[in-house]
This record gives sequence, structure tokens and C-alpha cells, in this order.
Amino acid sequence: MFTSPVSDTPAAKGSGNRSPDGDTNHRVHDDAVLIGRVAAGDEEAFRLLYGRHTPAVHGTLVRLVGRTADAADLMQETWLRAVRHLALFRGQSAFRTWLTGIALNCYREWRRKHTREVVGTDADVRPSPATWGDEQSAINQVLALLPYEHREAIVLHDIEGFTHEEIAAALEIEPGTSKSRLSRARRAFRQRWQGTR
Amino acid sequence: MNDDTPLTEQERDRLRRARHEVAPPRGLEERTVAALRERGLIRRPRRQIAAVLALAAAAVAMVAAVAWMVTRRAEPAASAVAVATGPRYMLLLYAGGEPITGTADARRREYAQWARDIASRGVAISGEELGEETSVVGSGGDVNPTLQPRGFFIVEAPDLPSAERLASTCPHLRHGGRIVIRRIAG
Repeated sequence: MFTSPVSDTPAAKGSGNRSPDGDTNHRVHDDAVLIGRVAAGDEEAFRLLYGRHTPAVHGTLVRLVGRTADAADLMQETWLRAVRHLALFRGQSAFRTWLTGIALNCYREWRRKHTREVVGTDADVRPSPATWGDEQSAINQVLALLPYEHREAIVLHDIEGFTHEEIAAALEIEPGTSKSRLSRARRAFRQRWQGTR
Repeated sequence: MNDDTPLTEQERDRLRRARHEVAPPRGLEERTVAALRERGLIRRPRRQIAAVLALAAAAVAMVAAVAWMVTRRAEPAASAVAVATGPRYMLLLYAGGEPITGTADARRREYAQWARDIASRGVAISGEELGEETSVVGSGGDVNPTLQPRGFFIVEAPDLPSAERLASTCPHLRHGGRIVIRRIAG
């Protein structure tokens, strides 16, 4: 169930490091126009919005989930919830931030169902553009080997740039828990990473 | 914050570089759009709706035209859903040596269905039922109305034997009638 996306937290509003779409007034304006049209049921506007924001949010989900099929399902659910609750987006944060918050809610629900599952990844989790090469693939592989708690700590904090407060809000944990998880996650990641070199 | 396990500069850079977009699977957009449509959250673009409506209207018009052509006159009435490009033959429907069986309406429906079946195979076919009212102009003797055709079909066929094979399936024969086949000149 959609609760409160991370972007609705005060911390989210203040952080600008994962709002690559919202760096210009022009883009913000475009999003606002498109959002208004989508709210009125305009399919073309939705497709534009989808094309603009999906690759970034989907990238986050792929890194969190590790499996492209699951990430795609979560991405679809994210859009369904976003469009259904579009009236709740008041433009106080970048749209992508809000969308990412919903995606994290979807991810959190998904993870509760998969907590005991063996961690795994697709062979086809490839970074895009592909020219970024082996290092990116290796990071994905190492992330996939980590338990979910460690993986999401690294992904959300060190890769996506979320603050502990934002992570805590998104995953419904205490900020202190997020910090301690990150510490353990970094150690685990470092150990695994050195094993690949 | 997290000072107990800080990242090295190299690690920080490496992880930051890992933040990249990942193209969604090819079918995801359509899947999502379909799901949104199903829930009534978005609608097809107007021009797409217009195109669909236009196509639907054209289809309805075509079906209506075919139905009208096929059924309005009944007995030998038929449709022409394909344009004849090859030789055409006229199938003249006469009463046979036996009385025509069945009710007129039932026969009309049967003949119309036969014509639709042929048309559905891409064969050009048209036809009409002829009424009883007859007049003769010009010189010559009396005209025996029983020897006058009751109706006709015009069908496309590559040659006379093909036209005969097609005519042999006409329900008119089952009702005791006979069919004279003539090639249309030109």
C-alpha cells in the first residue's frame, strides 16, 4: 500500500542530489505540464513522462532488486500508483524524487515477501551505456551477493545519494538503523569487492 | 556520520559512477499503458480514438453495405466485396423441371449465405433476384415467362470449368433449379 514517498519528507525536499531531472526550471515546468495532462487522462503525456523518468528509477530498482524481471514489475507498479495518486504530488519536490519514493515503497513491500529468498541476480543486468564497462558490471555483481539490508544501504546511500533520514522514511526504519546498516554494508561490500580484484 | 566505516575517495567515486540509468524492458511501456487504460486512469489519444472510430465506422459501413447487397433482394442477391479483375461469368438461374422447394425467404437467406461464403474467399460476386413483372419490346414472338431467369449471379472465374464448379455448389440446384452459365464478353 502506498504510504508516504520519501520525497514528502522534509529531508527529501532539501536534498538536490538525486533530482537530475529537476535541475532546470524548464524541465520542472515541463513535468508540471505533463503531470497535469496525465491527471486528465492524457496517454501521450504519460508516455512522455514515462520516457523521461523510467530509466533512472528503473536503474535504482535494478540495483536494489538485482533481477530485471522483478525490477520491471516494480516499475510498472510504481507508475500505476503514481498515476492513481497523482493528486498527491504537489510539486514541492522534483517529480522524479516523488516517483522514486513510490518505487522505494514498492520495493520495500516486495522485499518483505522476499526476505528469506536467496540473493541472486540476472546475468543481463547490464549498465547503460554499456561502454561504462566492467567496473559497473562488477559492482552490480558484488551488490547482488550482499544481503538485502546491506545492498539497499549501499545503493540508496552511496550510489543514489539518499540521506539516512530519507532512507529511514522510505524503508520505515530508524535513521540510526540506517547508519549502522550502512557501516556493516560497507565492510561487507569492501570485502567482496576485494575478492573480485 | 558513518565515520566508523568511511569510504575511500576511490570507493566513493566508484559507487557514484554506478549510479546510471537502466533502460526498461522493451514491452514495459505498453504493459504499463495497458494497465493504466484498464483502470481508466488514461485514455487513448484523441487522434487514435478518431482513427479507431473511423476504422470501425468503415468496417460497419462495409458490413452494412455487404449485408444490404446480399440480403435486400434475396434469392440470387449477392455481394461484391472483391473487385473482379479476370474473366466474369453470368450464372442465370432458371426454374428447373421440379418445383422450387422451400419458402422464398429461406431460399433468399441460403443464397445470400452462399454468396457471402464465396465473397469471403476473395472471389468477386454480385447478383440480383428478378421480379415477376416482365415486358418485351422489339420484334419477335411470345415470351414464355417460365423460361425466363429468376435471377442471376455474376462471378469471377478463370475459365468456364471453374465457373461450372462454382455454380454446382449453388443452393439453387438443391431447390430443383438449373443454372445457365454464360461468359461476359469483354
